[in-house]
Amino acid sequence: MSPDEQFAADLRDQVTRVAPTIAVDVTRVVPAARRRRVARAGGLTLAVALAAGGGTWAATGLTPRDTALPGGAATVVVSSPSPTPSGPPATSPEGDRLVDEPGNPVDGAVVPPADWRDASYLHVVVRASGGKEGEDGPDTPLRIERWYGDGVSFEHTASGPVPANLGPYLGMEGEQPISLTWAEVAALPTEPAALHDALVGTYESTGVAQDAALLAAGRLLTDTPAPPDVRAAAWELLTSSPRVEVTAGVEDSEGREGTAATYVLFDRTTTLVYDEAGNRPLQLESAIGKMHSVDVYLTNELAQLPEAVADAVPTVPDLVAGTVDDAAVACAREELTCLAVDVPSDTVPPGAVVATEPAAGALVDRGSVVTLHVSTGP
Amino acid sequence: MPMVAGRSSPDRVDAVDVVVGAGAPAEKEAEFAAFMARSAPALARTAWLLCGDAHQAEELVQQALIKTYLAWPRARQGEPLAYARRVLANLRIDGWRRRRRELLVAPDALPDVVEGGPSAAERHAERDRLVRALLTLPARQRRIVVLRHLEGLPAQEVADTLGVSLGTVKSTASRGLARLRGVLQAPDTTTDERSGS
Repeated sequence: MSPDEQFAADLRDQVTRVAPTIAVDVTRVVPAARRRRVARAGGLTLAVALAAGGGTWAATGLTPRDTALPGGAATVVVSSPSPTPSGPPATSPEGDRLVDEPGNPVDGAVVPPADWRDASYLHVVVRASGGKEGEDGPDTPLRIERWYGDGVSFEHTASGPVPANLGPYLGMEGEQPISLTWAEVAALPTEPAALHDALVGTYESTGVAQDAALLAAGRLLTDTPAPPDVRAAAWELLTSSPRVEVTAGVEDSEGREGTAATYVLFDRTTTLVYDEAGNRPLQLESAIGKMHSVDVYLTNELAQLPEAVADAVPTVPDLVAGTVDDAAVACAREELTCLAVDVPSDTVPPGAVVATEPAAGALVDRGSVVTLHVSTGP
Repeated sequence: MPMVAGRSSPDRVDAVDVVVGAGAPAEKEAEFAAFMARSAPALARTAWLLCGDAHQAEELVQQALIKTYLAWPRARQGEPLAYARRVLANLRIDGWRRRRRELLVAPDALPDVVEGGPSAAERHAERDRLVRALLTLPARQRRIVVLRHLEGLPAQEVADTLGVSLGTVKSTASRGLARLRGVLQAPDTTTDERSGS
């Protein structure tokens, strides 16, 4: 074996030894592919393709996982998401691109708290741009808009708001995970040393605790509904770390003045520009190797969820006791797909919906499947 | 069972009716699901070697699988894993820009190792060093080195996967490997030799 071959073989052994086990969530693959196909085909083309028979394949893409299809007894009703005649524009008013897919999709359905429409949310609007040194020019910036809530959160996509998996706040994995609810974030200490202990007090005082403290303080400032005095403590905690370089009197890319905190965490160098007087983040810059990104915070404040946003989140309609016909129409209106499955029933007349999965009121991703249990009689 | 659906639907609703039997399409669906389950770990490892980040790797694999699904009738004609790997290796790594929920994985969260073996922290450091070394290679070179040497694919398959000539694969793989070795074997700042002599 040549030295080169030997080195390559050693490398392969090393990879086997140290490569992390990455659990890939594949549950979103088929729905996402289907949405892409629908978007590409457009409403009418889709209908033609489906009618021509090629669609049976596309249609089975709608079959949700874990749905047992009794042989021959299932009918799939495809209601194609409306091809955006009156839908939202694909770009923001500033001309920024909107995301096609939610960055943090929910797994299945979310049953929101009863008062979700009237609750407070952390409203964050970010203009994200970046790229890789030496590859292509900069793309149009991406607009990311999120509503971080207590029990349910939302993200905007090009086709409207969808529920998003943004909690728990400060989610950290490991043997000493940090996981805080909305209420716990609000109740964090407002004094830096106490805040430090509340976040990483259980960590041994090693580099890991330092890493965790930096990560947690940074995320408290940008991604959590922390009250102003908690933010102020988090900023002080961050900037007092010996690993953080602080530069006062800098401007972000929008020309807003703030103070910059620069630190290296794992493989990335991060610079957070913060408005100390207003206690709000202005800009987050990160670099990993030759890759570089800038997130400008256009908005980062507590706010009520606008009614129009709440109304546009796909919600499972109440379909029980109605016909499959009615259900297909109601689902299409919410841009959902319904799948009918026959069930015997002593109490519900044949052809009527006995129950739905998820149940009425659940918030789901656009294009999700609602399974109708349709009575075949006793 | 006969089909039912909303022909008389309001104008905004554009309902389409399809009857799906439990026959061939379901089998295809199951076939793709089985393929995903089988190939995701291998694809994730390749993706991780290419980008050095577990979250980004997951995203890359998901994107590659979406594209593979859309081309499934074609992909399944040959070796679907090779097809998916080709898609993966040619994806522009721009998904990382979409910042995701960041999760801190502390070194002590890594699986335990057998007694006497390297500690979790040591392995973490080794992993870190490997990733950093790979990231010093230009993207094109890294793709070739990863597929040829770290995944151990035959040079011809790498050439087919990336759509470059066999000669390019051979020369680039060799140069890239030399560079990687240079980076990985660079003397540490704390060598014993200095203090020893």
